[in-house]
Amino acid sequence: MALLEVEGLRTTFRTWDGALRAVDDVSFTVEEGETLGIVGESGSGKSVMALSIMRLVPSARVEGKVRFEGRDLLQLPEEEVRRVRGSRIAMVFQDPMSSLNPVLRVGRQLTEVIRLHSGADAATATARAAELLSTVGIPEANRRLRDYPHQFSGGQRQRIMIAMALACDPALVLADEITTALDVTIRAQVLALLRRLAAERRTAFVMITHDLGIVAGMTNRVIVMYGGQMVEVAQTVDLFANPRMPYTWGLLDSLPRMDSDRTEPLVPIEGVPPDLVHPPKGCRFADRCRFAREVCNERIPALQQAAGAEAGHLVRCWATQDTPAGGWLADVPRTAAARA
Amino acid sequence: MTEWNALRTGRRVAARVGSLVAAAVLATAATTLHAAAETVLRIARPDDVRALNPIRQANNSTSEVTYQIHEGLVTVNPEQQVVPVLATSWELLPDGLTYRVKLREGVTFHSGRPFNAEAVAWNMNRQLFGTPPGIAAGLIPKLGAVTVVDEFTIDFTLVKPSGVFMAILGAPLFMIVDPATMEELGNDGYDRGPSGTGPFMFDSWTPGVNVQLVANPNYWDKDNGPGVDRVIFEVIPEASARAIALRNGEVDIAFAVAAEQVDSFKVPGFTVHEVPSTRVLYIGLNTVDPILRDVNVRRALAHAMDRELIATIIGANGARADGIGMPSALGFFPSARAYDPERAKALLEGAGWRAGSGGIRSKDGVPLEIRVQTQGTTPGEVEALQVVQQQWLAVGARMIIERVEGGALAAGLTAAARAHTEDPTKIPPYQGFVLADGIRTGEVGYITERPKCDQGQRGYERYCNPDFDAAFDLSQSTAPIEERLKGYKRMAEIFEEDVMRLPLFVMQLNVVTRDTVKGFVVNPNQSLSLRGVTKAD
Amino acid sequence: MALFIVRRLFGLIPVLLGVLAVAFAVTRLTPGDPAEIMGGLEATPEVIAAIRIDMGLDRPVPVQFLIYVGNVLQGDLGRSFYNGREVLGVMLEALPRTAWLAAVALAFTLGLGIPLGIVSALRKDSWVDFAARSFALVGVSAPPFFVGLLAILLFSSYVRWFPSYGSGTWRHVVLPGLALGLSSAGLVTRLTRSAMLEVLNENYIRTARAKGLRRRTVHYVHAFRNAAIPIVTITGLQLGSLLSGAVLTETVFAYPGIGRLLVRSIFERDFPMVQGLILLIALIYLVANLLTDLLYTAIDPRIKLR
Repeated sequence: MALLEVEGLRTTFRTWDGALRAVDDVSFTVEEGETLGIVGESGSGKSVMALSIMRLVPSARVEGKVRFEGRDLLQLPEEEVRRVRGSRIAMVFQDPMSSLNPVLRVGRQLTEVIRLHSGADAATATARAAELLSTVGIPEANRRLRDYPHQFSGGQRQRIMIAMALACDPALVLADEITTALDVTIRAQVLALLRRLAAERRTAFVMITHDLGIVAGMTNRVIVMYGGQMVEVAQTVDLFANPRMPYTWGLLDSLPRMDSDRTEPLVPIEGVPPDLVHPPKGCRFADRCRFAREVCNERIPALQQAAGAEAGHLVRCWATQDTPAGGWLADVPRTAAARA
Repeated sequence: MTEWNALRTGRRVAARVGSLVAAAVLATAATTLHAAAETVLRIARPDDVRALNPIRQANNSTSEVTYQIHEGLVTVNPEQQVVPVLATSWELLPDGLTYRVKLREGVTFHSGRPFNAEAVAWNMNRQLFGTPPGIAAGLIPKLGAVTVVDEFTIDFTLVKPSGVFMAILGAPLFMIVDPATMEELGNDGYDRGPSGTGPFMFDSWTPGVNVQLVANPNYWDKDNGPGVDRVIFEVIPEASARAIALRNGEVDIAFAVAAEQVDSFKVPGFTVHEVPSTRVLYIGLNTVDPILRDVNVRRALAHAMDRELIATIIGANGARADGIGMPSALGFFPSARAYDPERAKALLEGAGWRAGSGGIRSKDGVPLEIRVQTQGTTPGEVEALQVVQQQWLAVGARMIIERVEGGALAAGLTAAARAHTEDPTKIPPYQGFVLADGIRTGEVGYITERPKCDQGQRGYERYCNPDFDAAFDLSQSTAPIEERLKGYKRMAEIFEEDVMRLPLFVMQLNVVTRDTVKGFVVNPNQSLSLRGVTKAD
Repeated sequence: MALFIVRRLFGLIPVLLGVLAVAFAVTRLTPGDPAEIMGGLEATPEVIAAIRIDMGLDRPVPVQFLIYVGNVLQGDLGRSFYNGREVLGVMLEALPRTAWLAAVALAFTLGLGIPLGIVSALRKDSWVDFAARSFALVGVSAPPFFVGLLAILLFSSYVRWFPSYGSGTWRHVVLPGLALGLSSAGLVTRLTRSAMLEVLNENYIRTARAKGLRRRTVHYVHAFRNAAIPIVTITGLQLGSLLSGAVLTETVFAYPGIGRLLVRSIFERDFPMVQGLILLIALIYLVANLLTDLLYTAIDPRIKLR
């Protein structure tokens, strides 16, 4: 049994214009100790999806199944879910500057979660908190527990967030854009830390990011999301070796690569993400896709096995699926297509 | 066994609680009994006393209280007659200047010290020559000598003859304080322990809250003394709050009940005292103003006013004014001109004021506009002015109502009048001004002095007529009453003739008492006497 | 911290001197002669002149000012023109009463305003929210004067729980305190609601929820501590409106505090009293500001005392 099984997850917000489906039919599993990457531009629904799993989007309707350690979190009473949060599933948010409470001491913010879930006394919790701070590389941990968030640098705060997430030895950590605010060296340190934890404690991670670079070094599998939908799912190695979705190609092109010419400009994907209140009838990426044909605008492609790829490499694209209506890019290698 | 014990314990506890309750009830009953033994009269008034030292302060809200503690030689009763109090009789000696006053014997101050001629002499000296002089100093005619004849006889020798000397002493301004107490406590300290001869003795003063007085057991008048054990003068500035406190039974008497609430107390359980006061509200006119110097303009403005209508509109705030004063005061003769708009128009035409645009008359390009300065604080004042404004408009005159704050009004008038006294070319810029004058001596002369020539900065009307002065002097002289009344009559004629003042209305005193209060009478001159006032349960 | 307080207190001295000068100038510039008012219309010019000399009003204004400042520095605020009593004594009599009133009003303000605001924010758009917002609107719009009369009618006429006027016991303070506190309570309700709503959208609240904290902890520890910052500011500022509201409320309830004293003194041209009161009120404001600043630093660690 997988640690986390998400099945047909849909998250719908009510807006003045109508229903906005931020997460549309997302299904995946995470195994114990596994690291899953979820990649997409901002607005692709990846953050909402993570919050939906933790039932932290109160104003939205969340449907589907989120089976965690055998229980469907969406069906549990709120009190039960609350006990899971922070102890079994922890979440690390992006934007460390605003995600820590400015008026509470860091020590307090760390110990409260420890005491709440483990029932430890104050002294034990404080010792544990100091240990956690040391673990994430903050010197003089004991003294610094008495400091307020504004007395830490951005990178330190991100690491405090991570320490907070790890406080109760969760089975799963949902990490949302945790490296965005960090400079390169800190980023490397944080990622190394997470890798170590994953290895040592068998903690499963879901790395949510728009940065494929992070995915490359960290994850076992990757899900690419676009417009609230999964558009490509593959083993990380497969995805980089043989991406099968024009959107993924775009993401890869906007990535600075160690092996490419440094003077080459990054290529952002042109156009804007789709309107999710009135989603397009066909493929949601069709508008921005250089390879789109008529069928792309007419019908949504299913998420299914990509042509000419490893088994289990799924893609939501007419051009790279082996179907009667499409498959026109089935044989084209990624690099050639991108440069075309 | 255990049950039985529990039951017994329970019983014991119950018994103990029972006895406690009984004790509490007894205690409550005892205090109730004690409270019942003392009758307390609570009077709600809008203002606090300013001081308890009557030499320093004697405005109405102050003297209402201090006049219970202290007494004068004479007083003015509700019928506006001068009657004896600490004096028993008086006579004008043949020199025409000396009043010989016999004093009441066997009276003691609250301090226990005796009341005698020495005390009266001390008080008169303190009033006239103290630093600063006492509040009665401005009123008492110049005295040449104060002579103690014997222990209970005193002579006041005036510089100029006056027929109103005793009446002036009847105003609640000249109160006899215990000299020894005053010397002991000093001008300020006296507020903490005033001592007079009055029916009530000082108990406590919490400024802004209340003054408490207790009955004087040794009061000299056994037949008409204190009828309650304690009087509390509560300060409740807001009229609605006073009415509510009265209705709730928190107080027994409410002074200055708002006109619109008077009717709501005309129900069983309450007695409404609606008494026209001796205070008249009038528009004074600057008789040297370029427009108002023409007597026909002033007459026209008087004819244009319907005082009956004013009285109707302002309701319980006041009664119709027919002159300067009120009928019950000695020396009152009607002096207001009849409402006659046609006559007013004719007078204005005759004075050269021609109808112009917008219904406002003008003369030589000057519109007939009269600015009237008013504090607008007397209830009914603004409404009355608006009535007059409409009526003046009907004859072609525009009234511009200028609201001025009280202190500023008096200061402005005084400054301009002083300037004009010193330099007659400096015509005061004001035209009309609303003031109120109240009679406290029972005689109209108390409020008709200002238009005299010698009034200087206080003669706001800037009027000077030797004929008026002569009439005033006659009215205040020692001549027989018939002669003095001739002076008063002449003054009224001049008021009607020359129209220095336009009476608006007689202010009304609205006091409501609970029916448990007996013997309470409102004196039109606002001097309060609580002698003989009782309160049932 | 202590240094900061000492420095701030020293900083008050020039401000208070300035206030004194302005108060002195304002009283002298107001038309109306206190001697005339004291003497009344019956007094003769001679009597008024004597009163003027007695009051020291015959001297040039700058001399009067210097004498006054000299006296104030020695702790002598002069004597009331009105009844000759020591200004300081009269103020010290009235001050505790107004302080009580303000304290009760503040208790109503915070005791009603904060819980209502929180509930209103937590149950946004529910009937509770609607009721709380209606209360806030009524509270803010209804003048204390009117609320006072209404409270008297309700609580001292119909149910007779509290006296309608006077002072002395705690019962006397309840109704005026309620009347005075109500408008501030309305304001604080609205403020608390909006502050809470804003804070509840903050990322750190999401963090707190993600940590599995109980709702109560999230709302009252994480959210309210942050929302309290603007509430403290407004409450500090509200002290001013409490004082001005006290003028009316004290009149309605015949409550002998600073407000009524001020009104009476102005009408009577009681210069020494008016000056003393202006000084006192300025002092209250300044101290309230100082306290607000200190409270800030206690609540918000990001603010540093300088």
